[in-house]
Amino acid sequence: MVGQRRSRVWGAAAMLVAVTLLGGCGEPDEQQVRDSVAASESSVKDAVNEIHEALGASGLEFESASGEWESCRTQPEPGFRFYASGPLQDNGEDPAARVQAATEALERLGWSVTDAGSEPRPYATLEQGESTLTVAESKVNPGSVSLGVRGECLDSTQDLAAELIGESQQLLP
Amino acid sequence: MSGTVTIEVPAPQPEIRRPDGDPGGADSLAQALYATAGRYEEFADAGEGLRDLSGWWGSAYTAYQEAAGTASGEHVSLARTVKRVANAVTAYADTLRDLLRTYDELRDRRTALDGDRADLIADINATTDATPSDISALQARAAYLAERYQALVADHDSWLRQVTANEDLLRHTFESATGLGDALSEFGGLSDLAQSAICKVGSPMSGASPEQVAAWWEGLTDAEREAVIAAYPDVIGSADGLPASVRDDANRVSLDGDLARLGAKEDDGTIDSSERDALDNARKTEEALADADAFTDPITGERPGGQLWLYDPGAFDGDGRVAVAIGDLDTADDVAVFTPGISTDMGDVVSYANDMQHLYEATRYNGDGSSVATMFWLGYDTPSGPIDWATLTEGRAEDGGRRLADAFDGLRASRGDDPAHLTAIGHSYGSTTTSYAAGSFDLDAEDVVLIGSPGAGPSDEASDFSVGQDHVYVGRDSRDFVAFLGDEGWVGKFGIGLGTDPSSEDFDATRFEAERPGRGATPIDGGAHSSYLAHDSESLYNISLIVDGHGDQVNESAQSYDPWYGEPEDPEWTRDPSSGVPGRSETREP
Repeated sequence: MVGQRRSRVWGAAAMLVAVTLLGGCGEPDEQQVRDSVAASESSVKDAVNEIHEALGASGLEFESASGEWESCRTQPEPGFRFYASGPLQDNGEDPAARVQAATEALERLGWSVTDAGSEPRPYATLEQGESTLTVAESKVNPGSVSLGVRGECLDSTQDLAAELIGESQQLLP
Repeated sequence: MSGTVTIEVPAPQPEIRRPDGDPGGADSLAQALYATAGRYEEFADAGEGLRDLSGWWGSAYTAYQEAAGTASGEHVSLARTVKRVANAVTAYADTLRDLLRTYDELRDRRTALDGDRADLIADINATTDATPSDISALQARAAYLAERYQALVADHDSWLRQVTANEDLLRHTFESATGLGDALSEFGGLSDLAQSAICKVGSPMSGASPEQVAAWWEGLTDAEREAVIAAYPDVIGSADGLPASVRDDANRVSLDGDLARLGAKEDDGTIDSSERDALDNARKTEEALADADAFTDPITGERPGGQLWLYDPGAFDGDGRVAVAIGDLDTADDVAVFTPGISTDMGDVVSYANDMQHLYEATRYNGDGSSVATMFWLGYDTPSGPIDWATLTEGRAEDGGRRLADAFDGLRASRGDDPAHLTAIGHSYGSTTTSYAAGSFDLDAEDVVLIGSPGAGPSDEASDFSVGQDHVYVGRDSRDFVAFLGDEGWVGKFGIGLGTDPSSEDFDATRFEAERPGRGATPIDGGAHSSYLAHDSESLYNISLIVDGHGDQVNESAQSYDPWYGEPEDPEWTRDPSSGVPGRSETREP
């Protein structure tokens, strides 16, 4: 049954308060956001290079890696983050062994495992500070293993989102 | 016994000539015309502004006022006519680009056929003492070649008619604005073809239903279609019932026009605040479309393309109306329409179009192989936030619900005998808007998804929705304070939300997992309300299954409930969330 129309003025007012509390009072300072953007992008790129070097010992370094800014939150608190990913080299081991080897190497770099498993495909998720990471056998190309690093979700502005989102960067090789 | 056998080798045909004209040159002309239209507008504004002068009266002043008013009005007419001509030139350039691509394809086909023909002749000349089997094989090759040449001729004839129609249309448009009388008339810059087509029964200017508009379009010739897109891009671009590709063509004409005309005013320093808002909206839309056009499908690696389904940068006091889709709304098996909530305006289109890429990618990645299109729909006036009194009522949600239901009717009508699986997704205040569409305006969708909902508006139960209880899905992060506001239990929450909490037992929809790692310890966690479309989230994973038509496979979570003896309980509060886990929250290739 469709309920009777009710005057929910107080309800909407509560939502108004909620949106205000959640960050609906205008955009953040653009220069501060730019500073955060530069720091976060640099942090993810450094992590990719560090991982690339560490995995090289077991023949699992990145084949290639690219990065881009993407939306991670909508209104009323819009945000974006830098995301870098790419396939790993095939060292001849099976995918589960490669995921395991990569995970162990990442733990040595200071990443902490938050989840891991083998169904429906071998995978592990890890975190370090505000960054998170997934390494898993590919669903699109079974037999290959890919790794993706997500940076911190930062407050964004409309202009910066328009400027940065959609611009892909080749990080490796 | 020896004899002569004739193999009839078809003549090479047709002669394919590159069409005259240069799209880049036409674009430059359009830019100049838009700038000219802008200057006529400036003069008209100045004339109107100078009509009332203080300290001057009498007959001379009266005559001045009349002259200023006339000059202003005439310049408004001139601006309108020149803008129409510029639109026609822009449409001509767009069509010419398409025709040149077809020209390249036709020429490639002709080259390939000529190569086959040369091979056939060489093989015939090299054949001696041919057996009946050899002769039969050569004759079959010749017949097949003739068949393909004939098909090429037919396609070339069709293409040539389009080339001629495109040139005729632009010529007629110029002729309709040649003299001063034409330029000042109400119909200046409108070709006769466009005027006659738009006056036919079922035209979108007649108040026809989406089905009637679709039938009207089907009845137009190719030339008439090109003419109405060029002459009435604003009308065609928002006409429910027309194919999305047609609306996209028309809206891109309008977008190009706004960028050029308002950009020229900006350069001249004569742009006013409302025009500034419109130009900013146009630029954001241009950026969102460029991103959408460049997006690649995660499975095929191909570009599904973007579509500008709605474009009105000056609507709602400058907040604007816009709808950008990833994929082809005319052909996709699964189509999702996302309605945003409070404080969203056209300036957010880049971020939301990116979210639609996420939804497209997740649906394809976890899907069954069906084709997909996902659309950000800002077709209603969202409350602007804390300083907007509209936030205090559900009026915008009700109005938006009606508009959303109309938009779905338009999508349905445009697909005729090839219906898509349609999913309506509403976030925050947009979920209340979607609830109005499904609860009060008979939303013609298969599935409805409400996320971060402050309440389901007019509906107390999922079964009130037009899609039926089994097709109503709800995502609620346990830390989302806005989603906490909805009413539940026999005591309720004293009406602090916008209706019943759709995640509750009372509403009885299918609730899916939508928690986030790193969530806060309290419900005042802004990220919780805004992260439902983030990649590698439980929420996006489950929504993608619903969009793909497999809502029965979502990872369900327990509904919230309000025991009579205490506060409302949310079982999700203590569950460990995941991110990027296959089968639960992985939405793309790492």
